[in-house]
Amino acid sequence: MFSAVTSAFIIDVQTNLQPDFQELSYELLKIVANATLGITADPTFPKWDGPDPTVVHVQSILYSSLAASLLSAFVAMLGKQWLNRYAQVEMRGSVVDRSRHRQRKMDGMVTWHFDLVMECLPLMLQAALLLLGYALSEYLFSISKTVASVLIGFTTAGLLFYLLIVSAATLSYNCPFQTPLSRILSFLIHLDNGHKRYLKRIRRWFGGVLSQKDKNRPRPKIGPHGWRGFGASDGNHPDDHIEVPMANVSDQPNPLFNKEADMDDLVLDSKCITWMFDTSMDADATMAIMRFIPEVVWHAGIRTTPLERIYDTVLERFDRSSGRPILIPKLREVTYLSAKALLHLAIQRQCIGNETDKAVFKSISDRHLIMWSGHYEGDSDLEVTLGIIDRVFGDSEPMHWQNFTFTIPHHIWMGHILLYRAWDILGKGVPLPDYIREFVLHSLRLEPPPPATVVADCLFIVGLVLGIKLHIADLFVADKGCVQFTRVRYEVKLNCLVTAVKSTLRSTESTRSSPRRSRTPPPPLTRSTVLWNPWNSLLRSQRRQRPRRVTSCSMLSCGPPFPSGKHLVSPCTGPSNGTNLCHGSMT
Amino acid sequence: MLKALPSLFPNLHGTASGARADFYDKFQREADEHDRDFMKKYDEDLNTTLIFVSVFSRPPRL
Repeated sequence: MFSAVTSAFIIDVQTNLQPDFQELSYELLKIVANATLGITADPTFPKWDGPDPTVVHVQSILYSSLAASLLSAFVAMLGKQWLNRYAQVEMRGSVVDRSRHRQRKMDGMVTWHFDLVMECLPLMLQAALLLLGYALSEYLFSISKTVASVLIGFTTAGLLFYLLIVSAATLSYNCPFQTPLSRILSFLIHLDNGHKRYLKRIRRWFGGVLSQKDKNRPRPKIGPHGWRGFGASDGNHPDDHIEVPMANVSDQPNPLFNKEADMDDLVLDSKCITWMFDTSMDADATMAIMRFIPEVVWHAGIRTTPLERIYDTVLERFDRSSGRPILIPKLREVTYLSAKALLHLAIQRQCIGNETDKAVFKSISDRHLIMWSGHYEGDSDLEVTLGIIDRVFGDSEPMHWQNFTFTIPHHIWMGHILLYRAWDILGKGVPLPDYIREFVLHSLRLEPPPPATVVADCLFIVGLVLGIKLHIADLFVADKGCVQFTRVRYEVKLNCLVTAVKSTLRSTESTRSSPRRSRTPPPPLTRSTVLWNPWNSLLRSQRRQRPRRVTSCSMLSCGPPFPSGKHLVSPCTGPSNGTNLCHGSMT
Repeated sequence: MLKALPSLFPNLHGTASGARADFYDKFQREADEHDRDFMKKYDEDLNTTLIFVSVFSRPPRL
């Protein structure tokens, strides 16, 4: 019934574009007939002076309608091919590889607005229909106004109805009469908002780059290892660096990335995580995501992080109806994993310090609610993690580490996380917060001693505070899980570090009035006795004029050990807050 | 500094870790489901378009 709509009319109107041969032959026949009958009449040939302009107009509109519908058929055909390509699994490989590949294709779909293109297709057809209605109305109008008025009435009604539907659907998402046009309109409105935000971000970015340039200017040159050191020096006296050559040191600058660390893969990982967050939030998926997040290196190449959403996930697990955060007992495991993921992500991103992250951190810090409350019945891991979250996003008050007993994997993880935190904080020229300092002291004092990795992390933190220049490779741990295999490497590093720290401290001690104290091993620890406080002695030596002396340790380059005091910890306030360092555990 | 930073982070890449495999297992399932819906939606849309076009602009049988 509907068949041949456009084409039929085209063919019908087509005849009007050419001279009417029927009429012409009729006239000729008349002349011939008249001639045979002997009637002489003035032969009048019908004159053809081009088609009627209305017909030309109508015809061109009809053709455009036809062309539009054919074009949409063409795009539809291509679209099917695109879809097939998307569905096709192009590669064999592990689940991980295939998932990443799939995510890449999916990202492509989003970036290139596949949705929009597909939505445009029916739009073209609708336009074709409208054009047909208009052309027919106009054509009929030139023939019979009565018939045309009916058609015009219906076309107008249809158009008005369509416009009504589109505007309703654009304004309300819940409206069931969604049409492609309304989707596109709402997309454009949304895009407009995004556009503004984008502009703002660009402006902020430019501002950031400019101010960073100014900041960069007085910075020192890159050291022999391609590394500036751990920010413990103001860099104006390059000689003041204490350089500790560690294991496997070479003159070649270290490659920035480990060979197997494929940064693009990590970007894809992060996108998979973000997509998963968007798609599914059931408990199983959340657990898997949270367990996976600490495995990803959230490096600077990753633009967006699900930080805020993880924070919300953690926050949701608490019941705050009674005024203090109470963890819903069933959700203990997922809360612990989420909290770990949150800390991991937050601390890594803070080290990177990019502008969007800063905005996120600010918004989180502004609305941060205390999560820690001490009623988790011996669940130290969870409690400590929540405590650190509070300190990262809120105030950094001291923490009573001696009250907790963590499991070994957790302790190892915490050592790493706090090392990055310390690196970040000291790099910004802020003194080391109390809770990290106490963590170091607590871990070094533990009996039996914590695993080598924890000790290494603690010593690295001490090294950072002392301004000992470390090599990147020394922080690099291929696999935290395999302590046994990396143990040898660790011990070499540890020995170097211990020697360095000790000789640094010894050189300080020897300049003091009573050098004897550093030699005597401290009595067993009691809370009330101040034994031997490296932090205090450091500060004291700092205040004194800096004597130049060559240390006996060959590992140290000459020069005073503490070039600038701005990264040193604040003087301890009393004996009770645990600023004692057990000398014995360091040896 | 920013460039050097990534290598600071403990890198677990390349090791077959349980968390990664677990995550991608779930991811794959989720993605398959999503893709099936995605394909179905657009495939039907395209079919509708094609049918409409073929009806709309088929040459008339004379």
